[in-house]
Amino acid sequence: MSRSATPLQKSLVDVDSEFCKGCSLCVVSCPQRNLKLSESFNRLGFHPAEFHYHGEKGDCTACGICYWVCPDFAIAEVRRVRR
Amino acid sequence: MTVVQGAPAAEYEVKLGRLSTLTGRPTHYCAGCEHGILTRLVANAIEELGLRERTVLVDSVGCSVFAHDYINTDAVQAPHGRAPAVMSGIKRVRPDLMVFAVQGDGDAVSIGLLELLYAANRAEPITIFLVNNAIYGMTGGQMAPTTPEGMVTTTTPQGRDVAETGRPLDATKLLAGLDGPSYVKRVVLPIAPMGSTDLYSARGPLEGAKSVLNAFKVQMRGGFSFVEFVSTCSINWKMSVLESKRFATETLAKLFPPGLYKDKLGVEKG
Ligand SMILES: Cc1ncc(C[n+]2csc(CCOP(=O)(O)OP(=O)(O)O)c2C)c(N)n1
Ligand code: SF4
Ligand code: SF4
Ligand code: SF4
Ligand SMILES: [Mg+2]
Repeated sequence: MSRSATPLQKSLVDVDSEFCKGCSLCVVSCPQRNLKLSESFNRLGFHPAEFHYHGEKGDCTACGICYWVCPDFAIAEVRRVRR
Repeated sequence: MTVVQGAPAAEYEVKLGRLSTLTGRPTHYCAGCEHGILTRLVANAIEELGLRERTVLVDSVGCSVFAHDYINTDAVQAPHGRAPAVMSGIKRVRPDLMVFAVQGDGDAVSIGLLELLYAANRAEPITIFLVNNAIYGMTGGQMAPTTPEGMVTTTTPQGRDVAETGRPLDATKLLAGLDGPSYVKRVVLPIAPMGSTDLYSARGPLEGAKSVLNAFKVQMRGGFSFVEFVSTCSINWKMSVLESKRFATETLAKLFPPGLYKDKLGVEKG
């Protein structure tokens, strides 16, 4: 699942929401708080994680922590603006 | 590196992306389980070393029994606890292959302890990753040799009584005491609550990624490598996912302290 990006966003995290089991590991590990569990359900009945570039503590830095902690490969890609 | 076209003005590059060493199938693991985290770490290391076509996974019995459904390499299913024996056979016939297993603590430290100890003692050039969640996960939460004193399981409803069952077995220390192994390490894999903040540290998974890579490098240099991952089983511990992370990183980590127990070839120094 792809997500559109604006030129202002320096990074982008793609969540495969159908893989997500709503465990919240990415939510509590993201230093900037860019991930939240959605109020809607995926097909498995979980609340999937949603990416917000502007997090509670700051903008996503593409650090990749969410990618490494996700047990379900649901954090599919972490991208950053090509310098 | 793949370049992805974003909005007109911005060009993005993939820093971390999909791995061809993963089959792309969703896992049967419970939400938040370290079996899933380790799957990605292993796939990442195999891909980084460019060894997907030359790697054989030997499945254990336990929740990791379906690891071949997710890791896109050749695979052989071993009987319960016998992965190290099957791996030894494969490696002796085909020394050019990278051979590894993901074993549970029931599989490796209970029914299969003998196979593990002897393969290690023979210094077979193979790699074993142990997921120690201190319980038999797949079969519904029976006591394992690794279960901490006092822990309630389906077979110890009053809590584990060490006067009757002995003290928890430490596989890492047992292997580190042998001459055979080249690399013995223990990593506390779960994310860890950090003091009074509501942020969790990802040190475990990041340290895990490095350790998996080093373990494979040791095998490539002819050594036996073993990494124990202190893990969780929230379902059978009857805890929420985040409660299980706290229990593993605060209580289990004291019983099974993380560290580099042996590194004969000095791979951690680079
Ligand atoms: C010979 C044999 N005995 C017993 C079993 C039942 N059994 C299946 S998995 C398992 C233990 C799994 O525990 P562990 O290795 O810790 O893996 P986990 O699921 O916790 O990752 C047992 C006893 C079996 N499959 N075969
Ligand atoms: S890449 Fe880092 S900052 Fe961005 S969402 Fe993931 S954990 Fe948060
Ligand atoms: S860590 Fe993965 S499975 Fe868990 S909530 Fe985040 S995206 Fe979903
Ligand atoms: S039963 Fe336990 S070890 Fe098995 S997948 Fe579920 S949480 Fe993980
Ligand atoms: Mg177990």
